[in-house]
Amino acid sequence: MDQLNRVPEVTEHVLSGLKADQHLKHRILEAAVSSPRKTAFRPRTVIALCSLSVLLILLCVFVSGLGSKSPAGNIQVIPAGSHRNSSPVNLQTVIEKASDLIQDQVTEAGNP
Amino acid sequence: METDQDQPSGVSGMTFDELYESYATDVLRVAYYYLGDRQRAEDVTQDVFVKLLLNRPVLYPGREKSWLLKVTLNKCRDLWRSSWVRRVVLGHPAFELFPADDEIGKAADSIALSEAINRLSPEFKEVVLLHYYQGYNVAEISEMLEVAEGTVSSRLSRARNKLIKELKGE
Repeated sequence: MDQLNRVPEVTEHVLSGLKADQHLKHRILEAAVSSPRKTAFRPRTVIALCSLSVLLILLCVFVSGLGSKSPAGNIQVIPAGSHRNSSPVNLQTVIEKASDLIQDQVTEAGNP
Repeated sequence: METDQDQPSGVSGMTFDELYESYATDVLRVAYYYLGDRQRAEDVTQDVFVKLLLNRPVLYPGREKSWLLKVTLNKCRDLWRSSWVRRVVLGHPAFELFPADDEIGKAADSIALSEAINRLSPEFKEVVLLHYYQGYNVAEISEMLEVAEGTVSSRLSRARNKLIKELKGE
């Protein structure tokens, strides 16, 4: 299509009055000055990051505080060779009481 | 003190002033062909050159214009999509012509073709403008628009058929 090959020429005819002038150039420069740069230092970002850091530190402190209060935290130190006094005595008492009870039951069953 | 506009843009070595003088009118006219609205075309030109100033893209020598036109078409596409409702409600803007004073007589023969190009849908208008107005080949357009070469060829062919029908008054 021959006409399409004339598009540059045709455009020059019909839009030759449409030019990027000095006024538009000044507009661009003003807009560039008033727009924030992408790489610019942004206080909002810094404030957000600081807040997040503080929050994380507080969370760590809180979690470590909880940990020290838990029963699992009280570790009993039992040196090698030492005797555990309380448990065996208690167990002995329980066994004695249980055997007494069983004996009573057996006696009652034998003498109706 | 050296201002931003005096510094070379990217690696091309051209300053903002040189890029503006060389390509701003092309950017403005392509945007105008696309949008059919002078104010918006100027806004797009402004956005494109502000982006150039602020982002300082890497522009290789000889590729400056294709970068500017690629950004221009992206911005036009965004504007076109965002103003869909207004276009539907208010209708398509009239394609006003801006002949220079001494060109008014000569312009009469060219009006039909310019208006026909302006009436094409965006996907066809883009390839027609880049190929017939800006002189890019299929491979270059494919790279600029990020579509396959076959798609560009197909769009060019369909655009040509549409223009022929339009100009014949079918």
